[in-house]
Amino acid sequence: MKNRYKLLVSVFLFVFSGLLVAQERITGTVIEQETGEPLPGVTILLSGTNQGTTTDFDGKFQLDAAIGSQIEVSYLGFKTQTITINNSDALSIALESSQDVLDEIVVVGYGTQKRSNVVGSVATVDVKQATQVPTTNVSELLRGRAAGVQVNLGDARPGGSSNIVIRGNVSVAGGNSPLIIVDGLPFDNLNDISPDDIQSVEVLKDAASTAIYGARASNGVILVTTKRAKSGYSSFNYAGYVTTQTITRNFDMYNAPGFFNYRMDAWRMRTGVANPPYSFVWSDFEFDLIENQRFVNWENLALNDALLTSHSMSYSSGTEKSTVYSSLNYFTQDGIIPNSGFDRLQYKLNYTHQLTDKLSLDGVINIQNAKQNRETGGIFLASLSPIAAPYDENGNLVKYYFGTENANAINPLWDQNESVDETETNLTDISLRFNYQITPKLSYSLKTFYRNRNTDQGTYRSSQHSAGDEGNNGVGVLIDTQYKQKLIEHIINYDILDNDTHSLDFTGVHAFDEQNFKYNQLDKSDFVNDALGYNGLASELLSNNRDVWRRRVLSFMGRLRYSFQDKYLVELTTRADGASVFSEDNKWGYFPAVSAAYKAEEDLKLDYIDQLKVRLSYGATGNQGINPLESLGVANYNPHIFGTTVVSGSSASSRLRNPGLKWETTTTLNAGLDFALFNNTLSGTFEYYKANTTDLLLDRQLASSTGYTVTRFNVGELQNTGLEATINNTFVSTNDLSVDVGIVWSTNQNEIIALTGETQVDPTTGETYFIDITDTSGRRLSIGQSINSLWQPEYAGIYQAADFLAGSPLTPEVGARPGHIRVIDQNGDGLIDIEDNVFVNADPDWYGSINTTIRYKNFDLFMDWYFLQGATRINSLLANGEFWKASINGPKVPYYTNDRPSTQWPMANANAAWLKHLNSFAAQDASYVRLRTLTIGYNFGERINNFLKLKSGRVYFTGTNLFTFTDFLSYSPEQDLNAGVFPETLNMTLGLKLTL
Amino acid sequence: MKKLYILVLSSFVFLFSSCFQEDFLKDELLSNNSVDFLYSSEDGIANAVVGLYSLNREPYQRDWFNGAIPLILQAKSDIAASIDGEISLFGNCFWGCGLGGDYGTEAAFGYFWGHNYKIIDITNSIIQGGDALIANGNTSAALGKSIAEARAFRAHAYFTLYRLFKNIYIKTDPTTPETAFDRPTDKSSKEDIFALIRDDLNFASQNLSYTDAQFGRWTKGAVDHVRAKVEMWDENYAAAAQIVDDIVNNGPYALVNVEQVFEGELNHSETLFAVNFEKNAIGGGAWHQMNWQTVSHYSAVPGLTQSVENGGDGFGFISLNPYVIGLLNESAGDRRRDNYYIFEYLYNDEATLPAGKSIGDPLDQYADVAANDDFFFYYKRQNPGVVKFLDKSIDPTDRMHFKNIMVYRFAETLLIGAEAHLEAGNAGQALNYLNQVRTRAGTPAAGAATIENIFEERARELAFEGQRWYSLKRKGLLFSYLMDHMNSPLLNEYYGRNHVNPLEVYEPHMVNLPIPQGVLDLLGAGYPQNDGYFSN
Repeated sequence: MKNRYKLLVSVFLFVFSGLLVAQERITGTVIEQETGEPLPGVTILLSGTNQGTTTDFDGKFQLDAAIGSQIEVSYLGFKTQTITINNSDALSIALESSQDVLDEIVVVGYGTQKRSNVVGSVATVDVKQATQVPTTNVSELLRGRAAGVQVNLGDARPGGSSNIVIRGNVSVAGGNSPLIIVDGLPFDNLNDISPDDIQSVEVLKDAASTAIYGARASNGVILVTTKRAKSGYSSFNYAGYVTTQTITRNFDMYNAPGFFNYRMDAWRMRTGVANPPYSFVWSDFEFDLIENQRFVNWENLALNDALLTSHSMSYSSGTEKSTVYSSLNYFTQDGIIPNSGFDRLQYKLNYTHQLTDKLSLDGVINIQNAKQNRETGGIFLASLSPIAAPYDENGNLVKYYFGTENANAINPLWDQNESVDETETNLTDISLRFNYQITPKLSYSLKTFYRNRNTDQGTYRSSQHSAGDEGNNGVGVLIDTQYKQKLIEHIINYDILDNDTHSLDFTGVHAFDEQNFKYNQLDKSDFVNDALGYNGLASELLSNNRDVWRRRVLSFMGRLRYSFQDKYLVELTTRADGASVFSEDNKWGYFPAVSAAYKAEEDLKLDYIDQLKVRLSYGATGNQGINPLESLGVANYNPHIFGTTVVSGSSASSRLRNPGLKWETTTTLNAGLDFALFNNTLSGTFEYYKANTTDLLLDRQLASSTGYTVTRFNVGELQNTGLEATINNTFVSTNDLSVDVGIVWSTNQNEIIALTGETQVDPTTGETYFIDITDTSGRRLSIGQSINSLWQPEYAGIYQAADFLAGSPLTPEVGARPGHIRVIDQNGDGLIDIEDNVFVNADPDWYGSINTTIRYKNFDLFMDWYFLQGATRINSLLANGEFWKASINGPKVPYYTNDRPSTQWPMANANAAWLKHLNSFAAQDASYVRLRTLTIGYNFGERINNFLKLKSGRVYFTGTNLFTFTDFLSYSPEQDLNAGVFPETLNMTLGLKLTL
Repeated sequence: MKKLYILVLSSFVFLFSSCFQEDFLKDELLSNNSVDFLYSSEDGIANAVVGLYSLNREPYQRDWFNGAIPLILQAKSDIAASIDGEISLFGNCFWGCGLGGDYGTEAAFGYFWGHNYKIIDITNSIIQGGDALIANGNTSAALGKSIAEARAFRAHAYFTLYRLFKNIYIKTDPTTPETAFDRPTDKSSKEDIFALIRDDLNFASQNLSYTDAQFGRWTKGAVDHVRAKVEMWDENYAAAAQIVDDIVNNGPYALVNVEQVFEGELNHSETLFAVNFEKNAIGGGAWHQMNWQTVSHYSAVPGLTQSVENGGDGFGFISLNPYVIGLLNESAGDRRRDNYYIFEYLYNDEATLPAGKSIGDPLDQYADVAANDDFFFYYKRQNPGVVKFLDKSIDPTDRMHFKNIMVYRFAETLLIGAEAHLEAGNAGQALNYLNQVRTRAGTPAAGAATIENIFEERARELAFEGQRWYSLKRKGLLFSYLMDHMNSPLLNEYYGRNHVNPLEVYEPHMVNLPIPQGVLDLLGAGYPQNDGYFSN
């Protein structure tokens, strides 16, 4: 009876409320604020009730609610939002990550780890910020994104690459490139990854984190994880952008009248007369051009603002048992210099499948085709004389732009039309990984990987090309390389203990890695005609080369991770590696590491401290980055023709074998502090490290009377010490507005501790000193100095007329004149010689970045400033006597003349013998500040999304390298002006991202 | 499930067992020969000897300093006019005189030092390996010949080093990883050096024949020619005369017509030793650009364009100086002027022909006079050039030539013989040998042989073939000849204006090249620099 009554009342109330409160059908979409991706499974509840719904696969929901009522939107890992229903318009709800970064899962070597439990030095790169730069040069994406990671621009040409150095150079000759691991697989080239496929990037910096990779890990490890599908969710994504590339430079070249005066001044200085005869200064041809005012603006002629386009499509879908992520990327870039360009098509498939309860499969397939075109012979526009005739009166390109009488000066544009240089690369990666859960606590994985990269390079120079090919009827060079890598890993994971107090797990790995390389080169000439280029038929074989090498590494690794009360963390790692490149008795190296951390916040229990963790680690890693065969004696092919008979011949290589070659070992001590304060709004990391490399793989110059020039030795010690800071601060975070600022700052000190140990006695002082050595790249290595040092006389300004007057405090160098470069005579013996050389550290004092993200409603703005301070670089063109002789063009500077004395710039002089100490002068401060990235974006609101039937959408504008502040005269402070340079450009990008 | 266990287990076992096979981590030569092969078998030694010929060609191909390396000794001799480019810096003592540790000394002389010692180290390995094979019973004649060629190269390298640097040291054992850092602290004595050279050359002479099917290899005649030079250097004139007489009487050599001496491949009866080049052939070497340096830049003058008749592509860096031009002009009938050298560049370009000139007229626009510095253009564009290195088969605008290079020829043998007989008191035979060369050139026979006229004849006949500097140094005439007539007065003065006047800085001790600082740094403490040069 009572129950019946209750039922009646509630029916009544329900009907009544339906009558009194207008119920509306509310629809909406929930997306993830960070990515703009729809969130399925989000709980939507009417406040104060248990009435509600969840979002579907597309993040959409519908619910009946009254106007004026409130709904609560919640999802694990995200901040819960309460929204008042004001009308029946469709809702667009962006959920913000609950920012509990501590619970974030980060990828570490052979596994993952909760961020709060990371014991080693692991930096996570903000991929979203990093991928704003439109490039295929993935290294450049990492610039300024993680402390301790220094990126040096390598080649700015389309398809070019940069060099990454993590925590300084730990090796002189063994290579300093970090190990790159993509989805657990070693990659030899970071650029093989499409930026659009990257899910996360972690950088492992200390030995405790990297020792698990032992063999190649002494330069740090970059772990890249590509995107994978999520179970129960499907989407189709499109991302595309168009970029224009424009040359920038912070100098002007001389125009024709300026260059005329410049060269005349150089000859005035040379001849000592006010009006040197024109016949000395100019060829008849040039003089004719001057009289007729026929001049050239090379940049207008040769440079184009070039376009870069990228389209990427991906499909991602997951069910309970299988997930598939598949993407297709097309990238095409024209270079600003004619004949340069890069095209790439990439296909990727990541899939997982649960075969049985215990057995699962994980697969990766990458297929790529890339084509790079290069200009011939380099076009060094900054150095070309504006007094020249690249075109004749009829507008036809001519070969000899200084006239036929100067047949050695070839119009650089001419050769571009007479040559082809193409490289096509085909890459196939297949990886299969089987995981078998033997017991709930014990699992075994078999990981296999096979990579095949074929590169086909063809260059062709027509019979009209200048490279000395006259009479050859075309020269073609065909280079074919095959690179194969095989990797097999057996991995065992065992969760030995996991209770409230103790947690202990073990990982064991046995790995085998083999790389094979084959190289074929054919040079041929006497082509039937130029029509088919290097693919044509040719009757003469000029040379053929074959090179084959192989390297193998065999490894055993074990790791124990232990935590006590989730407060004290300890990790022990050891790895043994055998590498084929070392000598017979020294193949194996052993690399142990230990690390510990203490999570102090657990004991402090302070409200405003979310995290305070101290970390300490110590361990060893190895370097095997040398070429095979260095422990063996190699003979070079050196055939000879006698009359018309060719006879095979060989000569010993100029590298002397070292049958005792062994591992180079880097031992790193790392101390770190991680903190998160004020509800995680202020977080960061401070780190100190000291890395000592012993048994340095060093190329040592031999006395030429030995018959050899160089040999590889294990000798000496190198030390890198540094400090790093990463700080993130969220100033404001509301539904409509957020302001985040991040700072990344690093400094590294490189110092040679010991070299060969050989001593010499100074004949004048009688002191014994350790000898310096010169490595094969010409660097002078000296104890106490950085390996990246310049060794030359110290620049001290420009001689002024007053310096030569009686009573001047200076004693000018013998032969010096006003306007000459002054260097310091350190030992005061009146001579400038090698005794007066000093070391100048070329490394930067520090580098870092400040990035700001501001979001207001659907708009966002991202700004990334990059700083590099205290670096020194020789600016090649300013060190080139030809420039100061005014034989070639270059930066327009207020050089010294008798009428216009300069204290900063030397005189021009057509006599090279008077141009001394140019290297000392041209070693200039290459510090800079640059606005690397400025992005303004708009995320589509619900209306646009609905109208376009999208889950989400975004348009953005990005400017790259918009502003640069530096004293270093060049296209980019990362590049000096030299003949091979391909200018780094200023880029403007318009991009679109859509999710269906 | 059990199957899977077995699979996993067996793959483990398979892997581990394969891993521990001994040679799994072995580093192997996959596309290169091992140096051990080179010195441990007859085939290997034959291969290594061929490699020596390629190494021996290397200096001519060096493109440093615009290809100056093979012309440096010519530039430093008394018959060169050093006009322009890097080579002129060697010719006027701005480089290579050890003044302030200059770059030219370090790079070029450092190369001379290292190049010859490299040949020595390889020959040491060949000789040691070959001797071991013989000791083990190998009696092959081919092996004996290979060792003889290697010993000829070793002797020649030591002889070259001694003549250039004087303070050199002997090393007859191959460098090994154990000995690579041994640092000699003292030079070897002249006696020891000459004993080694003589021993090697005698062996080579006895084991080689006068002819070889493969043109360009060491022959008995070429080795004996060098033996004669060694005896001349040691002032054993009778011995030298005897060696020359042997070559003349027993060898297959004869002077050819002046037109033929530098024609074609040089494979004729006058050639004793030549370096082979061949364009676009495997083993044919890279180009040299000696012609480009020794022929004037006539093509800069309107009305003239590059042609084979005008000497191909020339840039006028270095050429004959007034002294040797005067010698060549002494006799109107001297046919060398128009065969070894080029004295007139002819107008040949109708399109740019200046008014008043006809095709075929000789270029005479400039004069060797101080006014307006006209002499500079005279030397650069109009001065007689040397066409001994001209490759007539190459496009005349191309600076890269593949002409074979003459090193030793019979005409020099005769002039060595003339000097040796004269010094040994046999004036009649001296005059006979001298006049064979003079007559062939179309010049009147000399009445008597003297040291002066033999050296003058050497200048006319052999200019720019690379022997002049050595001969004058041997005879003690280098310094006085340079002071008397090096470069030209106006060129010397011109260089004084720009940097140094060689007449003012050249000193008697500079007849020995300075040992570069970079070389000394890697030798033992106290290794002696040549007298007169201060060490940094």
